[in-house]
Amino acid sequence: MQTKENNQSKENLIPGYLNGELTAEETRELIVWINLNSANKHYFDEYCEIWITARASLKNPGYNFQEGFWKFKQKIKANEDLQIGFNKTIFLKILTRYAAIFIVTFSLSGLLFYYIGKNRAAKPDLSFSELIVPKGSRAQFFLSDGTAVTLNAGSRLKYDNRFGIKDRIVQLEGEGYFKVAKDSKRPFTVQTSHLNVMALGTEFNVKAYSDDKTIETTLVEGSLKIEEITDKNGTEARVLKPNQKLTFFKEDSTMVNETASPKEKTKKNTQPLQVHKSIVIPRLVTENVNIEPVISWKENRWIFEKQSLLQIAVELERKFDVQINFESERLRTFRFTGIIIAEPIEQVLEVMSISAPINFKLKGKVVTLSENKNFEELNKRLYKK
Amino acid sequence: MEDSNQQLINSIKQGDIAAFETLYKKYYIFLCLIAEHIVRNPSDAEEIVTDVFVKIWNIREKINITASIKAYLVKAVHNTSINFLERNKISNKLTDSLNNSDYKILAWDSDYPLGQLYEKEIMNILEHGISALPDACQQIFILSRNENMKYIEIADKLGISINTVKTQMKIALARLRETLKDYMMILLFLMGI
Repeated sequence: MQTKENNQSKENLIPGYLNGELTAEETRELIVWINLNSANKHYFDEYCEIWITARASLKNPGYNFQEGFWKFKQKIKANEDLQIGFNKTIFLKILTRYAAIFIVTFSLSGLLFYYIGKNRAAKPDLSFSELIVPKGSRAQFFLSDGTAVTLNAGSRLKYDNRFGIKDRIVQLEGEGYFKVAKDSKRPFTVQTSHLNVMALGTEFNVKAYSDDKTIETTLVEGSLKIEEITDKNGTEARVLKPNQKLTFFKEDSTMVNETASPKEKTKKNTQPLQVHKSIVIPRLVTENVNIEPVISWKENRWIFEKQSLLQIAVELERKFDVQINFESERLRTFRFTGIIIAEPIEQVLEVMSISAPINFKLKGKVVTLSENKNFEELNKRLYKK
Repeated sequence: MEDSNQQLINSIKQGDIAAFETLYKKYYIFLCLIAEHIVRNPSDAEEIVTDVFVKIWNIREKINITASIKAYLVKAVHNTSINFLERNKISNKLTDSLNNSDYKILAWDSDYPLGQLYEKEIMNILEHGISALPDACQQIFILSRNENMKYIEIADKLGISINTVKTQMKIALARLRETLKDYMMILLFLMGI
């Protein structure tokens, strides 16, 4: 009688096991029960099968065959590339309809590089791939591991043929949106001038133009680890949660306060990360943000949230490869909120001139912005605090 | 069905990428769940399944599949998952406290024909079985399965005790087992021949 009851209770552990909720002790008890006889084992196997099959019949069981198949294709391709010894770098699949993309690949044969791969018979030549997206265009492509990358205008992404062997490292200058393929063994790292951004399987945006004063990392999904690149060891890593943006100020903080003022963010959610080191003025600031405006550049949509015209001008210059001059100083500080779905630049400027007191002149690649005096009345109402 | 199986094997041998796509479409999710069941981590599971397919691709000319492709894949994923656990003992929370022979028991018996349930018509019966569960029981089963909710979360959400959740889950699985019993017997019998 005693044993039968005991038996019964162990059997009760099966649903808990399937749901991943047993303690190690309970798991051990279950194993003992399974081991008692082959009938128990069989019973357990049947339950597992029902459970696995029940999950497989779901509409969204957490796996996607297309994603898996893509990875498979990339892997067999990479294997075959390995066999022919990296004669060609065929890592990229360009899926873009924008023509103006340059891919620069070059090989540094003969140069001695320290190579870490253990299982390789011969040291392969280290070759680089660099994707350059000039101003006025945009590129979308997949890396060999299945990671989807969108590069904004005036950006470059560089990596070498060790990509995907032990880890996945790319170097970014400019702005990129990354949808990283899951691979727990090989973390995905985006190196920028000052920061390393590390991810496993996430979606995030990195904005690191060399002529910007900040580097902005915004996480859409998953989790990110961000480290400052410094000479000293043991710098603290910051962890970002979805819908958070980390802003890194490249310059000394005293300068930043001036220069960053036009694009000052809503202070509500801003919290300095280094609260415990109160003497250090934070160069890294985490805040909760609305994702949409940050990644709107990917589609030809422009979402501005209280952005200064100066900042917008910088982005227009990159996107359309133009030069923007201001006729009035005051104009630079005008803030603009809205969505523009338009191309080419004439249309964008037109939309802006309808909704804000701006006149524009476009001559070749030079745009001149001036104040629209007739707009004054409306302007008063619009921009009065 | 036998023919299409043989056809598929031939296409694989010839390195027809479309044949692999067919396999992915048909079995990828199922195989991932099998691997996840053993290694208990979705991203490791995906990697294991990809590795199995890559391996098959690499040896495609020499490959020798006598039974069904599905059985072959299930077995390959099973073995690769076990190997994975052996190589990565430290990284697995579950196996930390268990020794090798223990987790092999928790994977299924290699003689057990896992995957037989994973056929269209039987899956329909299974879905039907789920919808025929008593309301409360069904709700709990679906929450646990579809949304991966922990028992305690389900208890919270429904305002019932965790023991009730456990009992209902047990009833759900027992009923489904009952529903599928005949099919399991037939399949076992067929495999036995």
